[in-house]
Amino acid sequence: MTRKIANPDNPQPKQLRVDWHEWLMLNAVVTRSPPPDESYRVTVVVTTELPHDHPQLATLLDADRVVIDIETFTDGRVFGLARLLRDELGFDGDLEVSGDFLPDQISFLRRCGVNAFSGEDIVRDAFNFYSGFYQPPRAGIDEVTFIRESRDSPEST
Amino acid sequence: MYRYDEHDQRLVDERVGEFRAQTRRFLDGVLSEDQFRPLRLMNGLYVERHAPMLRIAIPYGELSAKQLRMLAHIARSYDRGYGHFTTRQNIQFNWPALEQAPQILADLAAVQMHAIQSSGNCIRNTTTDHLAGLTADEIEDPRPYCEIIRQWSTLHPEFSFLPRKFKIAVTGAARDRAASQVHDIGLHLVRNSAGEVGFEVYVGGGQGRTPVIGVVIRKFLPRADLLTYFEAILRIYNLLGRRDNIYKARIKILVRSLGIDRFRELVEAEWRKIRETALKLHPREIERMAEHFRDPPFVRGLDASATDLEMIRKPRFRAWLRQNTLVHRQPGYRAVYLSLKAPGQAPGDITAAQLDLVAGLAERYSFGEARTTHSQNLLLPHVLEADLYDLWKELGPAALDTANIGTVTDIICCPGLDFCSLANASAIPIAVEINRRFADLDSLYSLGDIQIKISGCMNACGHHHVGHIGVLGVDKKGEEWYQITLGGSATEDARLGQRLGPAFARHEVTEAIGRIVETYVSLRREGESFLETLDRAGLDAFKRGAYISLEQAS
Repeated sequence: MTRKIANPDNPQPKQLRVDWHEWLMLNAVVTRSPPPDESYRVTVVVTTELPHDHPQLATLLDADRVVIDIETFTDGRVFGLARLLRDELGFDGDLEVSGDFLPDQISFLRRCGVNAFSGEDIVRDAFNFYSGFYQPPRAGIDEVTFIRESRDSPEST
Repeated sequence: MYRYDEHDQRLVDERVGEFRAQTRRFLDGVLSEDQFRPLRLMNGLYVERHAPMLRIAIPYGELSAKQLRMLAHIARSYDRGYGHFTTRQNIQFNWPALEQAPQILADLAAVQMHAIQSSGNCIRNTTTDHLAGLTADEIEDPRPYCEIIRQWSTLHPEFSFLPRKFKIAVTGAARDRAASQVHDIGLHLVRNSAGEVGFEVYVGGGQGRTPVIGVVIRKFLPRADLLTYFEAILRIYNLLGRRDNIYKARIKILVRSLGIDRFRELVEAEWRKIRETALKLHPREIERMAEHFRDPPFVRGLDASATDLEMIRKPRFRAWLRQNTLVHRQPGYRAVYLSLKAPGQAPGDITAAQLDLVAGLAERYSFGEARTTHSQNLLLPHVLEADLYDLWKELGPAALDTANIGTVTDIICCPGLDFCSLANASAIPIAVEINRRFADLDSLYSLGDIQIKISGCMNACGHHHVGHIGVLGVDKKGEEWYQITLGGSATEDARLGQRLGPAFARHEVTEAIGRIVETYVSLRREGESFLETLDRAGLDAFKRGAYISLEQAS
């Protein structure tokens, strides 16, 4: 959204935090308005109820930060939504989770593209038990061995 | 058998460390019961009626002698000296202490075993045909694909908190011995018109309160696309499956509510996006897996007819030979069932002493390999015909020689009220009673293939929906009653049983089954199986036979 709500003469952005419905309204308004006086850094907070096939999902590419708020830690849709935002939409801003999640889930979340965690103080590395997984890793976020691939590397016989 | 490389070993070792830490946090009160529950379930640990229950994964049913000995050790050291094999080829122990669960997992890791994803709302242990690799009617050995699926599904980042559990079964033969059509995904190896091997994919089968036979989502899936297609199915299910009602959360409900055509459209659209990603299987990867499942060093050039088995006239041996052994693809060998359905025994139970004995027998007679079966028995897959008599003599003292495989006393049964906190009624005592009712072996053999399956509640762990005779325990005002269904099948002609009529009281149910079997005997035509007679004569004919009085039947 910085691209949309941005004033080149005013480089100090203000923080703006909106939920999904506010975001859709904001988008509708901004596209019909002249450029604002101020610049904004926009965080959009969505829930796991956000439909994976929502026609305006791609508007999130304009957000600076997307937060997926989790009501119950067993709601595994968060993993699917995170992956969708990263891999399918190509969202490259910060992707955060907030709400009810366990430190034990951080490794799973990171491997789906989440790179920020809010809430309680979390000592991330204390819950990082694995040096490799069978699934393809995510470059830049998840620096662990891809077991399937390492079996095919020249050193491994 | 599959052997771990250093990557596999490291992962299970790391898993033990993680679970040890999780258990410690729970015992210290850092994790609440609600938080710990899904974490322990993903390690097979339930809290049951009397104690925790630990379900250990036996990937596609294969066990080495070393692993069998470790299970014996676990039974002795942490349990009450026995374990219980399940219909999904796993083993569970009913009495371990929660505090000791991490150490049990560490012991298991030392023999390349684990309890990862043997419970919980995640992708469970993949099961297969216990005769994989040794029958003539096989298109290809399914086990390499089972191992590929095991690895892909292990600690999957996206699919470890699904709406509900997810079970996969793979078969490679024309005959379905893995109940694949009552699985969330059933995979059949097939050959297309061009002669290429691939998979026919079934989806949405399942039992429980809403039993459903799976439907075909794809007639032919190339082997290389196995994981990308699974990823697409699981992704759609994870995002769209219901999470508001535990009884409507399985994929079968999603498939039914969208319709198979719409569900297929969604899956195929997703699949097209990811088909050419790192998940695509390279032929060399399939080949590497297949290497693990090559034939053992058979004695070649044997002539099956040259063995002198026919010379051994002992009737009990002859009955066992006919009933509990199967001709092997390799001439001169047989696959041998060890029945865990002896009279008086809880179906599928095994003692530590029996586990140790089977380990030794596997080493001496079957290249160190044993298998668990969907019907809760064991199999020694590769036994020389010339060794059969010696093997049989060793089985007798351990009560592993009951010659009842595939008969009416080879009953599938869940733990029921004796162990399970979900159960409404006893299951094991009913199985024991039925076994006693049909104890006379000669009349047993004349009955042919009749599968009785007993569940102690609607969750249907005893597969009653797909039993030729299904028995479901229900609670009526604090009393145990039993509903009977007839005509189910879990094989390639999978179908659900039909309810016979009102439930029977506990003291009536065994006799009712006796009368159903007698009805079959009186109605059957030459060579007709139980299911064939039922289909011809109709449910009402059996109903008239089963209920003593007409008032009872109405």
